[in-house]
Amino acid sequence: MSLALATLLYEWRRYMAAVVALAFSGLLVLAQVGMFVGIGKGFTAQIDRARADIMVLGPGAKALFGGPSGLPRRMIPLVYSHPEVIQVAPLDGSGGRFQNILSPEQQAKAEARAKRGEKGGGGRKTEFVNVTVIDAIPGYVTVPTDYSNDMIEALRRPYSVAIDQTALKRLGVKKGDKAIYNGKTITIGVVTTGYPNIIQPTLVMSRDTLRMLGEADTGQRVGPLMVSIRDPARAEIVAAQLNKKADGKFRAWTRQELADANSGAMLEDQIIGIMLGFSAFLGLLIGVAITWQTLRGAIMANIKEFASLRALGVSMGDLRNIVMELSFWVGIVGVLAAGLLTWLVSLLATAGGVPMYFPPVLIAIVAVFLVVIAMLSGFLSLGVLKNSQPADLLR
Amino acid sequence: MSGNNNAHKRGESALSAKGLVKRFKTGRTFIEVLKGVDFDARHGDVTMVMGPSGSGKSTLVAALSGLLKPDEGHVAALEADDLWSLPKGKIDRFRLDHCGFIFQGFNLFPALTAKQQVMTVLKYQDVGPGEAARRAQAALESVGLGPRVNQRPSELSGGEKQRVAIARALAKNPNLIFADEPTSALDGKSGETVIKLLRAAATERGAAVICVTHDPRLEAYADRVIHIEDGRILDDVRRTPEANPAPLSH
Ligand SMILES: Nc1ncnc2c1ncn2[C@@H]1O[C@H](COP(=O)(O)OP(=O)(O)O)[C@@H](O)[C@H]1O
Ligand SMILES: [Mg+2]
Repeated sequence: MSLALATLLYEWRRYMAAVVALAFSGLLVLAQVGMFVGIGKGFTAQIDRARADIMVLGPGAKALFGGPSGLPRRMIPLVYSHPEVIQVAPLDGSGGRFQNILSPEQQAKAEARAKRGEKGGGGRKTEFVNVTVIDAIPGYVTVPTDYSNDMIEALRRPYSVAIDQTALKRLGVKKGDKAIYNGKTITIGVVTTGYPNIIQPTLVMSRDTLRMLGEADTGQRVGPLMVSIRDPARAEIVAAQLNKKADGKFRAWTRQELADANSGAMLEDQIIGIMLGFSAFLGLLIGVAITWQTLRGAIMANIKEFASLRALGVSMGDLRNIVMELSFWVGIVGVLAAGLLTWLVSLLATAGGVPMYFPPVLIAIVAVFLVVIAMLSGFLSLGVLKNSQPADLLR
Repeated sequence: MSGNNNAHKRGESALSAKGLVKRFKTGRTFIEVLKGVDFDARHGDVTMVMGPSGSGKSTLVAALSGLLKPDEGHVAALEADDLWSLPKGKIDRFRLDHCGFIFQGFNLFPALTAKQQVMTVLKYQDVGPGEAARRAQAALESVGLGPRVNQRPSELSGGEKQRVAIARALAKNPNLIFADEPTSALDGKSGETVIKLLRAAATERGAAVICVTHDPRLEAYADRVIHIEDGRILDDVRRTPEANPAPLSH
């Protein structure tokens, strides 16, 4: 084992501050990106798992929801008229106030808690929710690919809705509970996984349920169109042909195009870019400052030993290499610590309904970033080696 | 360990210095610590440099060994006719190839075992890992630390630490061994072990041992005793080391 590694392992307490600083620098960047990508994934989950080969949106729209994505109803026959199109169905959606219903026992417990002045879950919840619809027909174009027939069956029941598991706690309900949506009683019939949305929880219901709630589109405009075609492999070609036909009145996207546009839009967002850049800069600054000072102190603590190596003829260049190797290992340990810390935070976040997602490229970049911070700090602390004067050992 | 054995050179000059002057700046004035010192040392000799504290002993050793450049004077050591005319890198290389140092402090890395301390230096002499391990083991055994090779400094006594430092200096088979007060931090028994090891390095391997001390009891082990005072050599006496010197602890 090399001197640098042995020193780091044996005197690990001395290097703790540097490792912790690096871990937090890494966490600062990783947790943010992980969260943004996680949110982005939530946004594109519907697109990724849609059965539609092509999605038709209003001109200028990029997202399925939350934007002027709809188009005039008369576009439906226009899309249908393409010979390869077999199904066209508009997405529909709504939104409103959601309240959970407490059983008398739950009510009593919540009140007792409130009396004791405690906070916490279990009480009465009111949340604003999104609503999207599917057609409760197995294999239909609006049904996500990961919905089982049982789930569709459950949603076919009137006033039955699906909620993602990440939203259960926030809404204060569990599977089978009754709740109130815009003043009407609904049932949590299905719990989905993998559709997180930290901005607003989403209810999925059948088109008929939405109609019975009186919130379905009946006017001249409809939501984006989900289109399935005879040969999914020809999606790009058909989308191009549809776009020609559209003449600017709508835009047809393949599923992949739309997913890319959505996740890209997330990270292109100026604010997010600035936040990330700023965090990385802050992480760099704090990481370098603390790691530098830690390394300086650690080297000074061993300066006499370094001086004795100088006396025995080990060159200054070799001592510098020892310091650089030491800082490299500090960086590696920092990467491991950052990974551990980020993992813990992501567990917490997932439990809190904010699943994080870490693309491998991102992890690699942050790892390199931390090692660079450590080595930069090592480089800055090379100066203290000039104190390793072997003549000072002779007194 | 045969490559550097200079037993056959015993009696030949290993080191010679002429007219060494060293001044230190203190405030606005200079103090002259070495005032024109001539010095020489031979292979196989333990040359003892004695004198009161502050007389310039350590400064002399630093100038002789390539650690501190004198302001005036000339040092010839082994094949280097003018040590201080060499570029810095060459002087480092000279020390790496030929010099062993033993200081009053032991200066061992807390993280390394005794064996690793010795191997670290050998590594920089481009000795391969297998050979380095073998030589480190042998050096530690020769100083009586065979059973303690895997101990770290915190688990060793002062005398054992100094023996590790000696093993570290001896493993590279130096022709010149500089020891500055090697026994003054040690109890009598450990000090005796240390000076005997230095004595053996001179006798058996023909190394030139230059040992600074103010302990008169070490004189018994010396071939030559040089007294220095106030930066000048007072006397230079050749003697025969005693076969059975009185124990240091008495
Ligand atoms: N780096 C230095 N700067 C200033 N003065 C020094 C320095 N090194 C040694 N001296 C002075 O030089 C004198 C001789 O020191 P030294 O050679 O260490 O003596 P010795 O080893 O005989 O006790 C002392 O007075 C000491 O204070
Ligand atoms: Mg001294």
